[in-house]
Amino acid sequence: MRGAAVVLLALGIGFAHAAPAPDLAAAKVAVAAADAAAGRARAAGDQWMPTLAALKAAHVALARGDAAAAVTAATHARHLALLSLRQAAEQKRLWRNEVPRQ
Amino acid sequence: MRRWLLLLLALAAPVAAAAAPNPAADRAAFQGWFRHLFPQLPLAKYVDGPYNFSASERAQWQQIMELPPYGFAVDHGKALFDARFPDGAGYASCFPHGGIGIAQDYPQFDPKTGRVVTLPIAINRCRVAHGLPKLKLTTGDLADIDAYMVRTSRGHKIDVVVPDTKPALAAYEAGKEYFYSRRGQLNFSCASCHLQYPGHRVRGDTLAPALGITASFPIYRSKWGNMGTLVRRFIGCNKNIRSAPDKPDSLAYRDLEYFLTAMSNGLPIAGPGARP
Amino acid sequence: MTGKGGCVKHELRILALAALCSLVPLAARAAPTAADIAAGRKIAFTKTLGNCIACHVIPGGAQPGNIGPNLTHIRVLVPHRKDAYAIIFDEPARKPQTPMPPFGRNHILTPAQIRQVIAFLYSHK
Ligand code: HEC
Ligand code: HEC
Repeated sequence: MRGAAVVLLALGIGFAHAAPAPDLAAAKVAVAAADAAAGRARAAGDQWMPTLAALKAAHVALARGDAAAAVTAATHARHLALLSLRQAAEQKRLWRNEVPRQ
Repeated sequence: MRRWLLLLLALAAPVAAAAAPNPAADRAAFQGWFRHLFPQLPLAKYVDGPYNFSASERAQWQQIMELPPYGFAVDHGKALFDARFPDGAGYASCFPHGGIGIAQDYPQFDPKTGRVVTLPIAINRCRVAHGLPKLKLTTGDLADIDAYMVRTSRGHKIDVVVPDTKPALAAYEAGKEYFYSRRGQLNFSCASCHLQYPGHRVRGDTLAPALGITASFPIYRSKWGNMGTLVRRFIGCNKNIRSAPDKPDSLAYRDLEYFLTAMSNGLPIAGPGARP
Repeated sequence: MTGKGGCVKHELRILALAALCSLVPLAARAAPTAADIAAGRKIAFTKTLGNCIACHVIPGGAQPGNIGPNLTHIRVLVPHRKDAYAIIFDEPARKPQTPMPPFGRNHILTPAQIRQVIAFLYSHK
């Protein structure tokens, strides 16, 4: 039991070390990528409100110079935007299954 | 050989499904779906939406209707409708029959702009043509004018025309795709609720069937405490599924209203309405 | 279209991998606590969280909807919790026409929150 805890702790530390604190330049890149993904989702006609909320949080964090928070929120926003893009692409085909037929 | 035949069939099926838009056939299937679900319910009754399925809500509604909560909006809408514009004209000059008893003919497809025009958008167009600014499309004065014009059309059978032209059919088809496509983080289409589960309850709300769902608009909604147009409700339903709503005058909502209203052709206008 | 779709898929896979790394500590999962059950109850009954009550009858929930089956006897309906996890995570994967949202796939709930809802639902005997 204690052994497992030590291993987990080590893993956790290892993970933290593997991802050094991002600087503002990296945060700007992450936010720009999120903006782009959200733009594609809008163009596809399927923007999720949580995407916009996360995007806003990313921009706010960036503006106050909190690079870590900006990267976290931007990554989340981009992930949601990509999920909505996949949904929109699938629906191009699937929507017809919901149409009643005679 | 048989495998080839199957493959051919598999290929042919999606092509058949994606055949040329046919609003009349769609309407027959759409209305047939609801008739199959509720064989006892006469078509004209669908315009009462949720009240067909909840005796207690229906009783409350009937009580409320002794003094309809949209009465003030209709009176105010009439006053606005009858007032002269600075150039001396009025709303009546913009519409056939002086704007009286015509709500059943909307939305319309305008071949000049290639866009669908809903009644609220037509009201704004009239204002712009006479040098006045547009009004908000969701509530307020425009919803009141809408309420008055709809009130003068009560009982008229909905008669949305989809001309047999490429752009009109494309707008219709876009509205249809919107209605059936899942969207938002919660992954719903309009059909998931209003076509698959009419009469069921989502938490405390009884789901209105998609058939006749436009006929009572604009509505006075107790939750809003005032009047709202159909797009206001679209925006609300989009937000509920965590889908960023479109703009009130967006092509998406125009096309959606076009398709949805066209599915209810033959049902009577029942608006303005009152909802919880 | 296909090209674009493939690209989205690839980008999503990388993100999913990153998410998996952050899940490693969950391997040391313990039996649900009273706190888990309370958290699960809140998730099931809150609109901005799981809002399961919108569609399901669940003991203790006011004004339930009736779109999905009554979950009072979930132990009978779905004997194995891992099946319940799959259903809550992504029911459309099993049943494409379902109205039930894919809570895990669409990041409506985190894996930990899904386990809390399950802890709450299975706390009813
Ligand atoms: C999660 C289920 C759900 C989805 C998805 C949904 N709605 Fe609704 N809708 C409701 C509920 C609940 C109400 C309020 C009760 C009622 O009247 O149906 C409502 C009301 C309405 C009304 C007013 C009905 C009336 O008679 O007052 C309209 C119109 C409407 N929705 C249109 C739409 C459109 C268009 C879409 C797709 C963009 C949509 N809804 C998606 C749940 C949903
Ligand atoms: C929009 C309505 C809706 C919501 C919200 C919803 N469900 Fe469901 N759920 C359904 C429907 C409908 C079914 C029936 C099976 C199907 O359609 O896939 C179902 C099935 C289930 C089942 C399987 C029951 C069985 O007998 O197989 C479980 C477990 C379940 N839901 C749990 C949940 C939980 C937990 C939540 C909240 C996090 C939730 N549901 C939210 C509609 C919903």
